[in-house]
Amino acid sequence: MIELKNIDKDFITGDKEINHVLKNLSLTINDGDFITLIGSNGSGKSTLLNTIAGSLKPTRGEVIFDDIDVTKLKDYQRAGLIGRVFQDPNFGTIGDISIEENLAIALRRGEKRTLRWALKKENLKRYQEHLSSLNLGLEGRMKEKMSSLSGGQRQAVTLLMATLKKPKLLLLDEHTAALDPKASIKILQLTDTLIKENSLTALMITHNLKDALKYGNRLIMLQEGRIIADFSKEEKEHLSVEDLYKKFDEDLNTESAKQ
Amino acid sequence: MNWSAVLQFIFTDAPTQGLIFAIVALGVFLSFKILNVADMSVDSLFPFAGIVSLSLINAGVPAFISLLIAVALGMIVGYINAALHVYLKINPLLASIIVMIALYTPNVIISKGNVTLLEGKNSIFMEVNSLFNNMIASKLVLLVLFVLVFFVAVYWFFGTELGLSIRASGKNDSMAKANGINTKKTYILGMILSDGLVSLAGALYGQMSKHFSADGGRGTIVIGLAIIFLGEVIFSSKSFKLSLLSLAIGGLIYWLIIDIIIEIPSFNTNYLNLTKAVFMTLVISIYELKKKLATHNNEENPTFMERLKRKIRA
Repeated sequence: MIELKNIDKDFITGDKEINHVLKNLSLTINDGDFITLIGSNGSGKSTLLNTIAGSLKPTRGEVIFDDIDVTKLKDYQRAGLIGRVFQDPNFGTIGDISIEENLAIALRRGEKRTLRWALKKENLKRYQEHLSSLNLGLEGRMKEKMSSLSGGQRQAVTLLMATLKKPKLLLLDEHTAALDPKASIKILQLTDTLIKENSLTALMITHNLKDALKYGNRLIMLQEGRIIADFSKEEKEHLSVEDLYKKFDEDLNTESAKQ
Repeated sequence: MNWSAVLQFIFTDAPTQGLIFAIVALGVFLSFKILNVADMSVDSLFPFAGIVSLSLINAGVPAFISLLIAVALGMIVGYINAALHVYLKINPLLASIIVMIALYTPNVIISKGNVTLLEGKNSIFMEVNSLFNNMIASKLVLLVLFVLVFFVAVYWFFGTELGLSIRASGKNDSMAKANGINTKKTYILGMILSDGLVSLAGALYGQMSKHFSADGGRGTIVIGLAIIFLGEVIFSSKSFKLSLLSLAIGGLIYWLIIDIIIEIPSFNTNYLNLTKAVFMTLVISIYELKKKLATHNNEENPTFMERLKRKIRA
């Protein structure tokens, strides 16, 4: 179980004004949840993800993984708990080294890196099996540089890397936004399969409301740094894209009425 | 023309310089290619190691021990260089310039301007030479041995889990952190190794030439970078192993070219640094051009040469 307790995140803008991006946000992610997270630009989606990952430190509040307070741990210190896939396929992998070397780095996520040879034979076999399960024909190209892959292929490998060592939480930051529609569908399906097969806990940001409804067992709406709706699987099944739009508008109106 | 002199320079002088600067290039490769930093401190670290090593030998320290001490001090310099960036947040290029300037002081003080190996004191080359009964090429053999050992060691190290994590940090900060790599630590470690290698080369160079002046390292970084790019241009290395090999061969070719230029009877050696700079510009330009032509290297986007070939065929 992952808990966010009363998270505030303030940024100081260029002209010394304080920008409250996350406002007293609390969220409990249960084991096995696959949450889709939606919200307009600037609603704090990425800030929320970066706060969970440790790339950003909250101004106030706590981040707790299974009763362990990780608020003060930096992103690389809590990487053992978290698998990440970024929006830009170039962020999650290294183009200049081979596919197998990328996988070897991911295999030691959150563990001590020793003077043992990184590309061990028994692991190579494992990488090969994982790659062939992607059905992209990458199992025969393990020695090729990552940069020779397309964006979709790279994102598929990033997904593999993020889950090679089972994470406590998988964070997906609009990981199909930079892909063409066909690749995007393929990667989303792969994501779904990987999460189900390994019974992972995941939080996925998406800008596509249809995808937000189609995937996962929970849907969270973020607006101006607050969670304005948290739908369960059952509620989600009865929602339409129009309902989501309506909900966003309603919230905007009540908020502006308050002020 | 004196052919024996020409042969001697082709088979001993150029290769010894080439091998020592291959080690410099290896050090610069770690900072420039792996950590993505142009480490300017190399220009004063190279003479620093040479001066320290020669001064220690003059003071009675055995040549090999002086080499070890010079390398150890160089590694400390590398740590300081990295710490300026990691802990004080100074831009890495500026940090290396600060270290470069700072090292001039010990260089001048220790060497008093110039340091020369005293009569009766032995460099590591002289010791090995007497060990092998004055074998003609013992200097070359020793250097080949050094290059071999350190290139293999670097290849091995960067294939380990730890070494791979350093390579990852330099290439992609977000990927490295997402995989639990402390990129500050890897930066420091990489810089220590890089400057250790440059120091080793400096100490070897000092002992080989038995002389070092305080400003004798000017342009070292330029040579190191030129060798890296020369290697890339010649081999367009596809793997880490080939990149390293291209440094060793690049070093040899670089000095062969420079030495041939110096040997031109009408060449004024005052123009040497300008020549090196022009040569480096040329090599980097060719490298960039080659890269540009190669980026479209697939079926839909044939390279310029490929299109030319098709046109000729058609």
